[in-house]
Amino acid sequence: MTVDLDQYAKPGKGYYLALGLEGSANKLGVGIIKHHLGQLSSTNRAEVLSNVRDTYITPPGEGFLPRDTARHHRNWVVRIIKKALVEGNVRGTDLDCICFTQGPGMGAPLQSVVIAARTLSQLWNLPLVGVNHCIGHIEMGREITGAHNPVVLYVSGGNTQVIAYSDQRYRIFGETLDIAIGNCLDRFARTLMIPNEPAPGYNIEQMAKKGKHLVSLPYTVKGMDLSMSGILANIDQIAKDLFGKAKQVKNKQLIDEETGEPITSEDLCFSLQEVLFSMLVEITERALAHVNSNQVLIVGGVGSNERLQEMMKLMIQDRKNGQIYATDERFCIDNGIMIAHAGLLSYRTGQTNDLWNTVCTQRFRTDEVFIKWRDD
Amino acid sequence: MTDHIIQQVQVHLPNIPLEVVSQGAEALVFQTSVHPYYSKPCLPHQDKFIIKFRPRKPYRHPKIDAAITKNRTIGEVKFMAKLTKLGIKAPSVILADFPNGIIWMEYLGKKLPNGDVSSLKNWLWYYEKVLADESLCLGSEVQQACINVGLLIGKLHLNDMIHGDLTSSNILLEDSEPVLIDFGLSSYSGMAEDKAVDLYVLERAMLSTHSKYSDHYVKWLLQGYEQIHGSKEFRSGGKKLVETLRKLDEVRLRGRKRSMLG
Amino acid sequence: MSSVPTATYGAPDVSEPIVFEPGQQIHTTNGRTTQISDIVLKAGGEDRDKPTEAKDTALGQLRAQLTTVQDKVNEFLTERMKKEKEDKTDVERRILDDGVDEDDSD
Repeated sequence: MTVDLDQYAKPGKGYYLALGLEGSANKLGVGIIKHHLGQLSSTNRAEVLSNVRDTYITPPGEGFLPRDTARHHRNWVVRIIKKALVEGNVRGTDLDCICFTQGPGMGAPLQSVVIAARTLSQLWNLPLVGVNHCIGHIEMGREITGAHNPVVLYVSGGNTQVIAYSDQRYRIFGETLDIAIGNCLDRFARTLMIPNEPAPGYNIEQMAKKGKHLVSLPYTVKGMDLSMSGILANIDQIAKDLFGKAKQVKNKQLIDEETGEPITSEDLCFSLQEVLFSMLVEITERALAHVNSNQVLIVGGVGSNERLQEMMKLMIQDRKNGQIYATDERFCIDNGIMIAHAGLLSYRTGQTNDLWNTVCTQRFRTDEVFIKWRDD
Repeated sequence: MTDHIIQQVQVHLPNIPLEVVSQGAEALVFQTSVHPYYSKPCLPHQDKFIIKFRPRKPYRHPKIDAAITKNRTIGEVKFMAKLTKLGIKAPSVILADFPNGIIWMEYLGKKLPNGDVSSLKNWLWYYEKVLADESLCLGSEVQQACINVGLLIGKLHLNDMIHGDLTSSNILLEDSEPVLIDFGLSSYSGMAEDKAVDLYVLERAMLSTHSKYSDHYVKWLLQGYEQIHGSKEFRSGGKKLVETLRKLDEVRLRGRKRSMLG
Repeated sequence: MSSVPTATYGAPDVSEPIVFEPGQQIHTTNGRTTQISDIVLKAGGEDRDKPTEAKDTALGQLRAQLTTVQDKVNEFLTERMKKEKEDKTDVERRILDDGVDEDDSD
């Protein structure tokens, strides 16, 4: 990486400070990051000064609606910003720029957060930097783990993509043809009325650990892509048959062929994870083979799932010099610091957004962003 | 790490000499000099054969793994047999062991000057990266090869067959004659949507792997694809082409329009 | 000097711009139109995202007044959207009974 990242440095200042705001789904995050002058490297790491987050959680059986999520973000954002400044021991006027998630995501929540960003920008007279949410995950993942050029598996409530860097773009090699994996897991959690606290996916993971019987589900990899809505429909139906309250349905009991034991909801969670994660690992492996790479980085909320990490590790170990990288829940799950980091990289290459150009967009493909800070 | 996989397959193929040709995501491809049951088979190569092996995947649950191995092997063999019957160039099958994921087949393809097997990907990379010669990459040889690939895929689709994993690694070239390989994800469908997705996967793969000149390659591929649809050999080829191309536009847009939240 | 927040709405089919002001009522930050959805309350959820009460300062009063203005704007816009929807679904009747030309843009 030999791009000059200090062309826009302020004279006399040996570092940059950026504040990042994230609110594309139900997590509201504010983070403050510090970059020292010069290339980022193992001896010159980005410093996380603060990383504060609050999550909007709904009761079991309910998903989060855009309108309530936006309300949560609106009414929490000032508190969270103040907390981030105090924890980072930074004043607003010390900052170099205000970074915010421009997309992709849910319209109303994104809008709530960008208004806060625009306000801060005018209050402290700072430039604004719009950031693509996926790029935030990728760049933070690379920085935290030190993985220079891995194939990235980005898995969250709203995204499921396999990405590889090439020619100043993060190109999408494989993705979901319908729903995202986090969305699939969250919806099944609703079917089973599993609590959403701390996160539905986390609770499914804990239940899956107690499951052992594999229920047969469709396996729907399509080339480099995958489809999940069929599997969800299938398992929703099984769950309704087993646990449904509809009067017409006589609660069937599903018996495991080998052991004769009845299938439990833990078994369903286990089966769903096994098939979904197998498919993810398969399309990741395909991308690795196709670009001749042996490094995988997992980012996004679903990346914190231990079974997924375990399966990916088993796959990568079979490859020469195979290496897996993953971040912990501070960075895996949506957060403000990743926006600050990716935004600061943009800022350092001279890319900022004028006020009129800070409109958010629900659809924002990862490969639309020009990665000016890399030239490899 | 390849060694323990070789050990796995040797258990099922004792005393058969195996030389690794390639290691893909899903399977290992070996070359062997031995035919399972003939000393003089009716094939162009009598001393070179390919063995494709799907190894266990330790990350998958054993039940899922066993089912995938067996089903994909069966599916692939049936598909290849039908292709051969239809005169669509693909390796002919000699022997198969379904539960163990083994397919013994005809040897096709040549070695490129740099030692790699003549897949479309390796051949284009040879011109793009080893020789780094733009006039070759955009020359008539590559153009004709791409057109021929388009013709072949068109013929496949006109027979309502879907490859399912079209990438430049899965197309071999024997003297500019393309051959399709790797039918682990193949299926049968007459739906324009499925054919469009097949083409879209190839388009995306070309863009990702050969980003510099991919729009030329894809243009020529589609040229060949369109050409065969006009052939008298196939009824209503023109109508099918229009539908498929329309669906292709939709799929391309859908790729861009898919809403991504969080 | 106190500042009163106002909002002004204009549109091609509105002859005079409409101005929304807080007015003389009691203002709080607990807006009518900015409550949490019923669905969440019915499912047993709590509302932990309520805005804090307005402090008795100039800025606090401004917050409360803004909440009232926001309520008025929201109610106005919702009414407008409903009417527009009714007009659109009424298209068939309007074309057949009122003789409206179906090529007229709405």
